[in-house]
Amino acid sequence: MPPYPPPRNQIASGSTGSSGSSFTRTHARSTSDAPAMPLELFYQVFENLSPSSLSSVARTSSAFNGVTERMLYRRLELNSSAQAIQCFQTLVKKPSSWTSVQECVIMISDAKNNAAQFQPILASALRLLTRLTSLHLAVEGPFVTVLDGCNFPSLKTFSSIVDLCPWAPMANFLYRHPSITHFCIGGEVPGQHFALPPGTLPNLQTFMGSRRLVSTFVPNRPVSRATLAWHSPNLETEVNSVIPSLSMSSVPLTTFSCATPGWSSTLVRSIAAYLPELKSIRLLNVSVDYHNEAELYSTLADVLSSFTDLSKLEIPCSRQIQSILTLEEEAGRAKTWHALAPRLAQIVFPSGHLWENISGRWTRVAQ
Amino acid sequence: MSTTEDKTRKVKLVTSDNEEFEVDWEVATRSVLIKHMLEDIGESEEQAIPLPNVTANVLKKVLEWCEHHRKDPEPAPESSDDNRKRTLEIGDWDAKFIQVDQEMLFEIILAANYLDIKALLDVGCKTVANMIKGKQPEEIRKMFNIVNDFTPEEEAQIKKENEWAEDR
Repeated sequence: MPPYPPPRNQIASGSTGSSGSSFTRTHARSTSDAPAMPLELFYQVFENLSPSSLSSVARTSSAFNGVTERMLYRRLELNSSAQAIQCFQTLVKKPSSWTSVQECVIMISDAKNNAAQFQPILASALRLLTRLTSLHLAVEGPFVTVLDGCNFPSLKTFSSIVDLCPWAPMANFLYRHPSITHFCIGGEVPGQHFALPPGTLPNLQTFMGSRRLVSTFVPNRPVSRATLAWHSPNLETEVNSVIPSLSMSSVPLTTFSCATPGWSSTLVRSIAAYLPELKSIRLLNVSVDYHNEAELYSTLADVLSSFTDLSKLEIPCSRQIQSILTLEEEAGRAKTWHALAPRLAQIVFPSGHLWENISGRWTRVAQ
Repeated sequence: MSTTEDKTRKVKLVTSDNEEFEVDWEVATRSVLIKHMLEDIGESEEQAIPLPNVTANVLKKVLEWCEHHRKDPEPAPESSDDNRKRTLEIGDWDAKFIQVDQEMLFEIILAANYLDIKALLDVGCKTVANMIKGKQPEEIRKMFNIVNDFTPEEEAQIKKENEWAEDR
């Protein structure tokens, strides 16, 4: 049986107002005032609303206000310092608002010049959000100290793009939050030295960020997924320090994704040597003028047999570049590679086409 | 229950206003409620299933949807609600199907909820959400027959508190 079988006679359509009297309401009304549907069904409607629509519904009546404000404050997405300040003022004044916040996305690029004013407001608002499970903090400027004094016992996903100078507030914050499983970090300064207290992030599963931070975050942690941005002219020489660090995770790395300018054969050979347990590999060529597709294919032919568990291979590139392969040639590559890596079931080619092995046949499927 | 027999089996449904509908098993069992009732009474029975919460004109419309979606795969169990959230997209056929007057729209939602047809309930809820988009509180109250129990001062206060959420 459905959880809520409503009595038959409770539908009122706007003006006609025919209605029953026996359904849930938060406060008494005469029957002719009955809303068009039971509240429970309105809640399902509200789950589909944008923040601005939720804010309109929140003003219609007290019965709708409670539920729509809980939904509105469940996930905050703040994109300018003016908007953030408005929101933070409400959080500070109104406990029912901050106790609802589970996810917070702060992406602000206009606070750099009034950091002295914005920093304390941001810090005091963040300290309230003790129920956060997910925080995305992307605030251009010297804001890493806002993490001091923050405690989010349920935090699972944390991404930070703030200037990482000084480093201590970030290191201490991470040490205080062993619940974090997914971590993304940006904003480091070249040459900066990163160290973490022993035992930091014992549950880390996903690392996303610069290759410079791999040796700090991956070794001896249960990281199974890594996504790296590697926009470096020295990639060929850096490979030898970065990829071995990935293999020092306390569990096998199964997913590796990397964005580089041009595909690097050195990188591909290195992951084959150090990370043969990979199940999913994504190599994105971000360059619009350096397109060494043929070189990549010859390297893959050499190393694919190392990946005995590989099921998904993605080698996309910029949309502006035309792949050298025709559709028939893609099908041919898929078969050849499958013979080398027998678990291979999905391939995304530089054309963007997705091919799947569907009961033994390689088929191009719509994405 | 063997699935080969189910394909050809017919199911009788009786509405609150005593109209009888005979439909294919595959169509009727888009409704989880009906599916469970059929499992309860067993497949040998010719018994009609009473649907005391649905009138004939609404059931006709709901069955039109079930007929079109009879081959749809079962939704993944516990499909993550997060992914569905806040995308107001509705398929072309569904969008056309749901172009009904507001009274019928609410009736369809109530019936989909009662009959436990999640995908149809979702289409209905998204349609109502689309109607709310861009509307002022007074228009929303009118649309749903909601009585305003806020004073103008309270309403202004709430507007100010949630100002950050307005489209900008």
